[in-house]
Amino acid sequence: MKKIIISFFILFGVCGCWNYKELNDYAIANGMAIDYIDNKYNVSFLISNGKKIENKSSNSQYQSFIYSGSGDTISDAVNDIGLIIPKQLYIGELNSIVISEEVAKNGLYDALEYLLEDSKSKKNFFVVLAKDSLAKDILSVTTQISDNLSESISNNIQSSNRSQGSIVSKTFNDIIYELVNDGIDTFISSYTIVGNKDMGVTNDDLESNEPKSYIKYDNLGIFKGDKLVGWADSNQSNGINIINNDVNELYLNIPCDDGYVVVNTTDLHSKKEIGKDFVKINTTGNAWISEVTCSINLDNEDNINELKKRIDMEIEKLINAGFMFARENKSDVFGFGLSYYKNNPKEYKSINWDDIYSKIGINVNVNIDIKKSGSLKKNIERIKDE
Amino acid sequence: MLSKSIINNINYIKRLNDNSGDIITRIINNKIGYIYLESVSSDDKVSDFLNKSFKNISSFRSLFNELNNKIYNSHMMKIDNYTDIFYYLASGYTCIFVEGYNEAILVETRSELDRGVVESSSEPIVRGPKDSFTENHPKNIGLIRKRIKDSNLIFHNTIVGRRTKTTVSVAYIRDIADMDSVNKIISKLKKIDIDSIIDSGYIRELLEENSKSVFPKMISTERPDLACTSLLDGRIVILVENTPFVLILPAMLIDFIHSTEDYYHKPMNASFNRLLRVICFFITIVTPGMYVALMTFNPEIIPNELLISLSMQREGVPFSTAIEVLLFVIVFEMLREADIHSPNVSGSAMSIVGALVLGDAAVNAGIVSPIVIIIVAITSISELVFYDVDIINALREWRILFIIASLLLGLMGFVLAGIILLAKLVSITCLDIPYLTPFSPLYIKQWSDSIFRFPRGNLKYRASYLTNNIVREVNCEEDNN
Amino acid sequence: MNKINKSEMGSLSFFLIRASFIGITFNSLINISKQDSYISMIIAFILGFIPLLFIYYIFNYEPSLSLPKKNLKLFGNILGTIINIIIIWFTFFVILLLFSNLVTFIHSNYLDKTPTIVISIVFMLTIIYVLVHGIKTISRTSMILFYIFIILFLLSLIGLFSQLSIDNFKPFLESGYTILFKGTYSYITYNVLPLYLLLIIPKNDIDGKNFFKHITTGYIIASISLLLVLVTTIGIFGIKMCELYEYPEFQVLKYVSLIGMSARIDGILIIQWIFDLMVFMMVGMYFILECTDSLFEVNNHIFSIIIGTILIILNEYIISNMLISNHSINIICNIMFISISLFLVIMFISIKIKNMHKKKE
Repeated sequence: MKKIIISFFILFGVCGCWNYKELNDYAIANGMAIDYIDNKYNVSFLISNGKKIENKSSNSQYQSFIYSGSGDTISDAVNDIGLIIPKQLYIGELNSIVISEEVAKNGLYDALEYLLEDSKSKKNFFVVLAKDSLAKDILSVTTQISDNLSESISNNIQSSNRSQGSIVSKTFNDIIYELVNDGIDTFISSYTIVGNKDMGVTNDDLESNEPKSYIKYDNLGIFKGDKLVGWADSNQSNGINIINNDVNELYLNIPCDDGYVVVNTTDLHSKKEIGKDFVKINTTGNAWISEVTCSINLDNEDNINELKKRIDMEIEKLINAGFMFARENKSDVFGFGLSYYKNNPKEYKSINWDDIYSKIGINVNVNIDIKKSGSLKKNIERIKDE
Repeated sequence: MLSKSIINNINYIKRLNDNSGDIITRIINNKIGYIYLESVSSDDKVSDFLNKSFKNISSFRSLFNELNNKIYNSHMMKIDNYTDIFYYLASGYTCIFVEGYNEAILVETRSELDRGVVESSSEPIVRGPKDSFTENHPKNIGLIRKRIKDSNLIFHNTIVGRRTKTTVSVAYIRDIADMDSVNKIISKLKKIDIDSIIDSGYIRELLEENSKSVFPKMISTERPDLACTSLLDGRIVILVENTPFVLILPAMLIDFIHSTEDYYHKPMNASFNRLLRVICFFITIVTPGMYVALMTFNPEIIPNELLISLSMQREGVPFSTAIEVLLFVIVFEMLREADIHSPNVSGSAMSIVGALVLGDAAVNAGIVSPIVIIIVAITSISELVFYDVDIINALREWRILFIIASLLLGLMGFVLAGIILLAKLVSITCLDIPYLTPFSPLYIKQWSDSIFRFPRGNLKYRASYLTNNIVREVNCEEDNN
Repeated sequence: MNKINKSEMGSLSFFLIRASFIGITFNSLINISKQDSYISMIIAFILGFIPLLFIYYIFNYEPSLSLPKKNLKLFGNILGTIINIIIIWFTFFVILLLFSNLVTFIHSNYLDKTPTIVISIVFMLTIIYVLVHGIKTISRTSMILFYIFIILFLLSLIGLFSQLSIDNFKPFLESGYTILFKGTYSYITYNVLPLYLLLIIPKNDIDGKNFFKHITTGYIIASISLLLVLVTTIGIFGIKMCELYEYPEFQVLKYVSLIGMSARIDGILIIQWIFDLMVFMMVGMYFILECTDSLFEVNNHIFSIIIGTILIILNEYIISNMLISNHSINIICNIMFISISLFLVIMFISIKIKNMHKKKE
């Protein structure tokens, strides 16, 4: 009796499995680009499981393609792509998204809602902006280092975040966190294309040694709410990242008599105190001397102190630049509002933080220790002179 | 009643067996006659013993006393009717008639019709005793007796089977085993009314009444050291004549993962081996089903590079994933079955290599994708870790059920099949002991001997669900050097 | 071996307590107490011992009878039968709520295109299969599922604990003290009071004299595990994102990073929640079967199939068309709390009165 029920059910079930899909019927999308062309959303996907290409190297790689579609909303655009792609789209393995400037200016909520709804997406892919170019083009520029195109963006961001001070790596989760909470605004790095834009698409590029076009980091985009309000240049980006404790190492050129002393500042750590009409920032860190091109004598105690004061001033300049820029655009990228709310919830509710933020004063205090780096006691010029 | 004339008795017996070719009769001096079956009696013993004793005979009484006093042979009895006489003749006895008396003397002159004590062919072991049971019943009992020289070791014999009249012995240690279970088994054996018992498998089926599950409830083994260890734990061993496989009950799932070698190696090594076998147990059931579920229903668990490579490997394959996996599982089972019946039993490693070559050819022909070969090879290799044929067959059935469940509902189907397997396993009981003891009814003291084997000093107590006498005497003084 | 082991009672109580957490209690706690939900849970953990003591006391009365027979003996035939019927109806609705929760959870996360009726049929078949073997199978299965649960839970905890940040709890006691008790109330109703389902097992069927220690251990471990889940989820997401997602405990498992790399095993780790929903359903259906068995003599197999079919039909055509909003969850919470606590208190007082009568005699 039980067996009859079970066998009946098996027959019933095999007749149509609704979620059953073979793996080769999926078009695996590793990258996504959202543009705004002609008042319509234009969405492109980078599909990585094309056919094999026989390369000179022993590992053959799989070809990647880009498919685009357009529509009034993102879902419309994705449906439009479904008319072109021979297989079903699978966005569970997205590595990175590129969002163009126009879409960011219009507002991020519409663009990101589609990815939030989907149950299969990972939600920890990287988000970048595209400056002065179409997001689709950035996705299609080939690189010679890695096979998978959109992984090159995510790897790039992760490794650059450790070595550059003006870059920030934001995942989708971070952006949603910053969009959902008020009192904090988001900021995203951007890419731009250098070189001949049209030449980046073919695979002939991989044959020669020097790439004809490549993507490069550009300014940081500042948001208010979900709309893009400004671009921060290199100094301002450095300042913003220092305040946010997001800088691993930063190279500063300190001018001295006829050259520069290049120091590498590490372990920068800022403590912030937020009051009702002022913000106090205390930054500490270490500096290592990296390159000396002037004839300063580094054994001298006074010279070292002078150097330290100059380093402190440089960093204070960066912090001030970053803070002023954010304050001008009324964008609280540091999360001061959120911290104030967490510590004094009742007061936060009784005031309008936007007004206070646009008038808030800043009090910066920097203290960097110089550590002697061990390789050289004197630089080359001085040894020759002595 | 026997007749007083020798000729009549002998003719009666010959008529009983239709004058079969192996009946040998001899009449000496018209006074004494004996009859035996040449096939089961040893000629040397007959001629040697009997001819020596027939020197000075005057009457039946003196012959009997003579044979009584000369202890040439072990077993001797008198008989006065025809009912059991053929049973004794077929067991190798010689029947002696004396003219004028209606009683006969039966003397045992059995020949050894077996292969001697050899190495076990189906359960090889690296370090430890290598002898195995044979088809000779007293020798089997002897192999157990010489290991446990305790007076509490009892062998209870019954005869089962109307035509085969096979001797079935139930062995137990009187003050350790549970006497209720022993009596239950003995009464069940006495109630069996069947034509023939050829092998212990018959007894096993008759004792496991409602065996709806595929998992075996008794261990069937060829090794005397395993039988002795089980006896000392409080279990019951059933020995059946004419077969080297003995039955040990009660059995639990954890016993099929144990091996006798674990008690002879160092504790650390033994624990590692046992843990490996437990992992293999799960791998062999779970792997093909998990593969089907991940490939078709839930690809988000697979990492990115593997995802792309797997999806490209499936291009051009005509079958769906589940059919590929089922096909190759069946091919591997065919190879294993062919290997068992081929004369050289130690060729299982060669057959795995052969399977890989076959798989390679299949990949090049475009029938399957390469990853399926690896999956099925891992499954089959981890299946070979277990000795017992019943467990391997049970695992095979559940493997196929898992594949079908994953085919229907993916990971959820897999989970539901797992719950059904658990429900089936916990409801099996053998002699009222659940199958998944010591995990399911929790007995923490027995955990020192289930998945890991702790050192000898921690194994002081026997399992309390098997016996009431739980203290083993273990006294080892630690050497502080 | 014919009795249920003490530790199996502990694992049964463990799963019964955890069952309503996903989807129902978590969302209501977050909506009521926001960041201070963990304080609500700690207070509820302490206050939850009171219903436990009531249940122990009722266990001790007439140790060889199960709950419906105790009712018949306590209140007389007519009143006892009426109370039994009310209990049956009530348990039926509790099970319906949890069953629809289970089916919605699986449909939204794993099998989106499969029609819900197929999912509900398959799960109901499994539950009936385990149910038909009896309460011993249910309790032993729950013991082994507990072992698997520990492995999955430790994996998810180890992978997530390092990403916690205390900042997300920060405005402490923002809404004041009194609102915490509302969260406590909802937690106790959904998570502690369903332990009355354990009363279906007569005390004499349990092996060992003092199994209360094991039930209490199960309660403590379950509460600690739920507290850890709550703390981890709010600590990683922050309260606003928790309000954004429907099943935050599932989404937070996507952050699990073991040995430095982020493994995508959220699909496997979420199975720990499915176990407790299934065990709750099994015990609940067993409860209904036993109660109706004491009222009318029914055949177990057929009746369980009938109940399963009724549950599937009600879930498919009525419950899935209802929108379960916050307001209706509150109403359900109130009904559940009043009914179960009233029932426990009435039984407790009646047993006390009877005992006092016996002492007088």
